[in-house]
Formats: sequence, C-alpha cells, structure tokens
Amino acid sequence: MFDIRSSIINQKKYKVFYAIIPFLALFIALFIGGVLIFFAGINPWKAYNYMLQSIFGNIRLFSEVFTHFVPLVFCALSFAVAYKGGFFNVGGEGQLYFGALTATLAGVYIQGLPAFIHIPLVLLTGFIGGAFWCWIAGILKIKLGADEILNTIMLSYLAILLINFVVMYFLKPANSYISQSEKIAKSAYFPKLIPHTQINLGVILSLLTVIIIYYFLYRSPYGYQIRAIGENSDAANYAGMNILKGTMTVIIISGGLAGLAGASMLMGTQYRLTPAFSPGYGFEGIGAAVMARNNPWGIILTAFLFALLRVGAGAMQRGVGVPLPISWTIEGIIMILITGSEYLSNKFSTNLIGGRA
Amino acid sequence: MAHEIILSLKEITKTFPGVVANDHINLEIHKREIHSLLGENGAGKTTLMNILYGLYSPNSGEIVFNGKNVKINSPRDAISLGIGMIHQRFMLVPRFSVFENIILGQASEKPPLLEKKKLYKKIAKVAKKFNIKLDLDIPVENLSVGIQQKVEILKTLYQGADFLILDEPTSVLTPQEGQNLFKDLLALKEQGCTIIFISHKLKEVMQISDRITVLRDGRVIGTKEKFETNPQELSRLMVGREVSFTIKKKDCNPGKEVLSIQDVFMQNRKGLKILKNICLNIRAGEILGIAGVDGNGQKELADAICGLQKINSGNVKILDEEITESNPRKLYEQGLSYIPGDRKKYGLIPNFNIAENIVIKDYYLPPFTRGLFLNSAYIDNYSKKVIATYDIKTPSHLVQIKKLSGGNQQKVVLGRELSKYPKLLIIMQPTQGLDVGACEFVYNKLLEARDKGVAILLFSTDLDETMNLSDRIAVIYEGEIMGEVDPRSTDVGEIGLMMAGSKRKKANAIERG
Repeated sequence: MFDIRSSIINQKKYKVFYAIIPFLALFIALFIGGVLIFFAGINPWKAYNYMLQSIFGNIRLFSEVFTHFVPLVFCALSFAVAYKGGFFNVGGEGQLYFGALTATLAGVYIQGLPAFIHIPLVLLTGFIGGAFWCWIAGILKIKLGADEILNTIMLSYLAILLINFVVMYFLKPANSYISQSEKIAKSAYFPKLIPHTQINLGVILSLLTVIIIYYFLYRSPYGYQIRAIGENSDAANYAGMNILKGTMTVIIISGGLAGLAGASMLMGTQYRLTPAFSPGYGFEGIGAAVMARNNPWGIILTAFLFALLRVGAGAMQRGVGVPLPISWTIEGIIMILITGSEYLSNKFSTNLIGGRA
Repeated sequence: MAHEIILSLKEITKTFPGVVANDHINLEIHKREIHSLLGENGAGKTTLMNILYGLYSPNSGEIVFNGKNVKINSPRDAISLGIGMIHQRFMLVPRFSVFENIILGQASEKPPLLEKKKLYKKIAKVAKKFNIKLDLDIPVENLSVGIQQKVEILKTLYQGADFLILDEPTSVLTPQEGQNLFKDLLALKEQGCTIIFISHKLKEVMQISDRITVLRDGRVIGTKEKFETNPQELSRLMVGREVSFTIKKKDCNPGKEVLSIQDVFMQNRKGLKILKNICLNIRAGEILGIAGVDGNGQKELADAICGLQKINSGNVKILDEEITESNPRKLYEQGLSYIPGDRKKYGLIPNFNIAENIVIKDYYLPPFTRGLFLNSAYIDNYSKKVIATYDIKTPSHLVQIKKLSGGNQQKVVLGRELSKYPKLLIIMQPTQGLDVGACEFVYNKLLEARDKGVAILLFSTDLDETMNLSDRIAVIYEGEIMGEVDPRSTDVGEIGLMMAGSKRKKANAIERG
C-alpha cells in the first residue's frame, strides 16, 4: 500500500530541492567561469574579489547596477507573464526598442507639460509601443497559426533596424552628424532618488510593477484565467474561458512591459534614442525570468544578479583584464543548468498521492 | 497432462517513484494456452507486460523464456524471442496500405533495395497459415477498428512472433467485432501460438481463457483454471471484497423536458458530415445513454450542445430556451454541466491544485471573487467542503491535481459539477480508467443526481455501463442515431448490431413521452 505521509515528506524535500536549484546553478556557473578565467591566465579568486570590491566599494559603480536592473526587471516580467499565459515571447528586445521609439516621440514632441503628467504619458506611450509590436506577433499566431517564437524574434531584428532607420532619417536633428534623436523634455526625466547617481524613479516603478504583476497573476480572477489558459488551453476552453481574449491580453501586457523597459531606459538614463539603444536586455530578461522560474518575486533577485554580473564583468575587464564574454558564459551556464534541472525535478515529482480511490 | 512451460516470470518487481507497480510477481505461462491477466486499472497488468516486451526494465526478478534466462531490454529483443505485443492504441500509419504498415520498420534483406514482391508473398503466406483474410492494398485509414486490429496481429505474426500479448484488445471494439477477435485468437492457438490476454472484463476473460491470473495492487492474487472458477470468485479476487454486479436503481420519474435537440447537422472542415439529423430529448430525472463505438460523433455532439463546436443546422433547446448560438460560460450559468471524456486534457489543469481546479468554472463569480481579487478564504473553504463530500483522498486541498489517482481526479470533476446543482449534466466516459470502487462511487453519485431531478446525458463506450445506468438508450453510429431502445427489454446483441450500423426498425421503437 502507498503511504500518504511519506509522499508529503517527499513533497517537502522536493520543494526545498526546487528552491535550491537556482543557487546551485549560480555557484556551479561561477565555478566554471572561474576555471575559464584561470585558463585566461588570471587568478579567478582575485578576479571575483576585485569584482565584488569594485561594485560594493564604489557608489558610482553600484548605482550603475540599477541602470541595468530596471530594464531587466521589466523584460523578465514581460517574458514571465507571457510564459504563464502560454505565449512564448522571446522578442522582448524588439518590443523594448519599439516602446522606446514611441516614448521618444511623446518625450521629444510633446513639450510644456508638468512632470506629473508628462512622465505617466511617456510611460504609457512606451507601453503602447511595446504592446503594439508584440500584438503583431500575436495576431499572426492567432489568425494564421504562425509560431510566435519565430515571429517575435524576427520582429525583434525588424524593430532594431527600423529604429536605426527612423533615427537616422527622421529623428536626427538636421544640424547634427551623430545618428541620435534629440533629448526628451526635462519634464519627462525620471527624478533621481539619490542625487548624482543612476538610482532614479525607475527603480521604484520596476519594483511596483513586480508587485502589481504578482497580484494580477496569482490573486486576481483575470490572472487565474491567464494561468489556466497557459497551463491547459483545452481545459480552459471547456471551462468556458475566452481563450482568444485571454491570450490577447497576455500579449498586450507582455509587449507593454517590454515597452516600459525601453521607456524607463529613455527616461532614466539615456534621455535620447540611439541606434544601439539596448545592449540586449530583452534577451537577458528571458534568462532572468527562466532563472526565477517566472516568479515575479524571484525576478527581483535574478534581475539584480544579472545586473551585478554585467557591471562586474565590466569592472573585471577594466581592472584585471578578464575578457567580457566570460560573464556571458556564466549566464549561459546558469540557463543550461536550470533548464536541465527542470527536467530532473519533473521526473522526481511524478508520484501519486492518496493511492487508489 | 503435463504442460510445457514457455515463460516463467520470477519475483518480478517494478517500482515507480512512490508506487510499487509490480510486487514480486511470479507467473508461469503454458505453451499454446490463452492466459488472461485480470485486474483493475492500476493493478499492474500493463506494467508487467511492458516489462516482458522490453519497454520497462524491472528493478529485480528473472524472466525465463523457453527454458533460458533472458534479458529483454527493448521491443527488438522481445520480437527476436518471438514475443509480440498488440497495444491498446494501434501503432499504424493511417495513409499507408496494410502491406506498407506490415513491413514498416522491418530491415530489408537486401538493403537499400526493398523487394516488394517477395515481401508481399511472404506476408500472404503468413496470412494464409493463420487464416487471416485481409486485403493488403487498402490504406489502413479506410478500415474499421476491428480490421485494423487484425492488421496489427498479422504484423506481429509476420515479425515471427508466436507469443502474443494483447492489451485490452476489446476496449475499442463492438461486441460483434469482439466475438470475431475471439474466433481469430482461438484459431491462432490452434496454430501453436501462446496468447496473453489482458482485460478487466470478467465476461470476456471467462469466455476466451484457458487459465486466468488475477492481479491486485501489483501482486498476483491467484491463478485459476477457467473450469474451476466463476465470475463471482474472480471479481472477489480482483477487488478484494464482494462486489454487487447490479446497480440499485430507483424507478425513473421523468419530469419536464430539459434538453431537446432537433435535426442537428454538423460538418467538419473537410466537409465530412460528423452529425446527421440528430434528434434527442431528455427530461428532468432521467438518464439518456448514448451507446456507440468511440469516434462516432459522440464528442462532437456533446461539444455542440455545450457551445464548444458550431453546428451547421438544426437547433438545441434547454428548458425551451434556444441555445444554439450560446457559449459555454453562459450555458454553465444556465445550469448545464459538462464533464468531458479525457479529463486530463479537457476537464482538469494538471499543474493546478485541487482548489484551483474546483473553481475553474466559477472563479470569476462572487463570492469566489470579491472586488478585484479572488476570495481565497472562500475558495479554500468551498474546496474543502467538496473534498469532504466527494470523499477525495488527499492530504490537502493545495495538492496538484496530477498527483491524484484517476479515481480521485474524477471525484474532483464530479464534485465540481454536481455541487452546483445543474439542471442538465452531460458526462462522457464517466468511469474510464477507474477501478471498481471508484466506479461504484461515480454510479451512485450519478443516480443520486438523477433522483434529485437532474437530466443526465451519458456518453459511454462501455456498453454494460450504459445498459446499467440508463433509463433510455440511443445508439449512435457514424453521427447518426440508429434508434432508441429500452435497456430493460433489449439485449446486448441487438444494441451491438445497431452500434455496427444497422438501423432499428421503426415499428419496434419505444413510444416516447
């Protein structure tokens, strides 16, 4: 006979195991990264030490972490929401760009508004821009059954090239030789939380968005519906849910969040649109979401970790000459380990409870 | 007379995480016998046979085949020993002809060439030897299920198997097709084949077997000669207690008409007619059973009533209200409950917990939702109540539904739907994959609902079940109702003929209303 108690104990063990995996992955990845740094001819211990010391010993570098943190949180949330709703949005990068474009238009061409109106307005246009770009992929999927993984990623390249073009031919001031837009109005700048640093309103907004998304997904009936559709759209359909509407909502929110990433970069740190606007936050956000297993709270941690790695990699390169790609390798290894562990933990958790009825 | 033992399994044990599927199983199979493995779902029959066929490897134990200790690591090993298995779901390519299906996966003698003519002759020879009559050139998709099964058998024989394992072979057949299969099996036995027949149906087992081994909870309970035993004894061994075969049913007191379906036609995308001229009605407090072989339009009919598929013409009314253009959510709110057949696919969200699954249709309605947010306190209490009322065995209401056994899952679905006191319940395959205990529970709950005045439309491919539960039976064949009968005055044979497509004569139809 099957023992119910033992299965509960197994479940607890399994939950601990499940929670530990991302940390385990991080340490293994740092270890392998250390081996690579060693082969690059550098003492890994010294390199990591240098990285931590320079980040936490220097307010300017530390505040730079938040420059990366804010868009990473938005991009990771964008992926996570879509994933929960059964839509695989890997085009956050393009939606970020398109959101930045629309936000730039609202930031540059609308002048003379007070900040408390201008800031929300630019954020909203950024949201709409990102949402629109994701909607294209969504409508292609819904109407034609086209695979969203291909669509979103292809639309990413399209967005980046499109923005290059728009900046070069339309947004660039006539008297300028540099391909970049004009600065947005001061009224659309995020106020700094700590003067002379990069820590601005965006940090608060991103954390607020985490809370909103969490409550939306796990506490609201609409979020419940979205998760149901994502888990099993057949059952959701049979339960009377409107699959099309639900999926469309997910697509809009997901794209909008990526658009917010673009808007927040524009308003917090960049102030103008440039061809190489994002260093790949859209893609890295997917990594942060996967490592957090698409849990909004976890995303705060993983986005911060990835931002740290980014700043740290730069510091290690400047300080001790560790090649930049090694930090990408570390992120890549984390991803592989986590996706692999997903398979293993699924295998461990297939036991039945309650025996035969 | 001493029997030659062709196969003996010794102390076979196979565990899956948390479950012992086979617990020290000892089994001896005689040469040229039909040996039945009888047991409930989850008793370990299929696991044991999958071990024998090389799909699973046992944790411990030995397999002795033809006097030799063998290790079977893959189906290929099994086939080279002459062991063949016919699965519940056929593994045939629909577009391919019978011939192509049979040679599929067989190494050619002269690679890379395929000597079609030679192979064709070879197959014909095997077919002739075992007296299997088949047209080798017809695409498999044009064949009935019964014939497709023959193709599977011929394929196995052609591969050189003389030891056949059939996993629940009759579950997809009409009663007549089942009888034909039995004739074939007896013929195979005459030709020297040994057959293991897996089933949970007592009647069949008593008809076809030479010996019967009963499994329960992964253990061998006993092996009996058919002539020494009877159905009562077997069912006691199988379940572990006395089982009553008849369902206690009060007389039916039908009330007013709840569902009326008139002249419903449906075409699929290819323009094939899925439903033809369907006319049915159900009144409060009665069970209308729809008998038929799986895939004859049952799912489409149920989906159409529930607003999940569009019909081309005709109309559907619930309590005199036209619902043809309605949607599932509105219908649910009007008192229509639908329990679809494949519960893991359509009825439940496996990764959601029990509570989340219980509120899947009501989550947006107050008091399940209060203001902007779900009312988790209410949802918890409500689901705990359902768990208690429907005797769902689980340590908590927050356990993922996929971790429950099939019986408990079905109780969750049943609890969810019946707790809302529907006016009309549409239920498909209510007991598929459930053991006898859970079946009894489901039957009692259905009859209880009926006696309270729920109109029930029952779709089941299990004819015994349909006969036992229903107050009236309509038989569906290729999307058409072949006629309506009274289960008390009709025998299985007649319904079987209708399931195979013969229309009931108008004169015999029972008067309605």
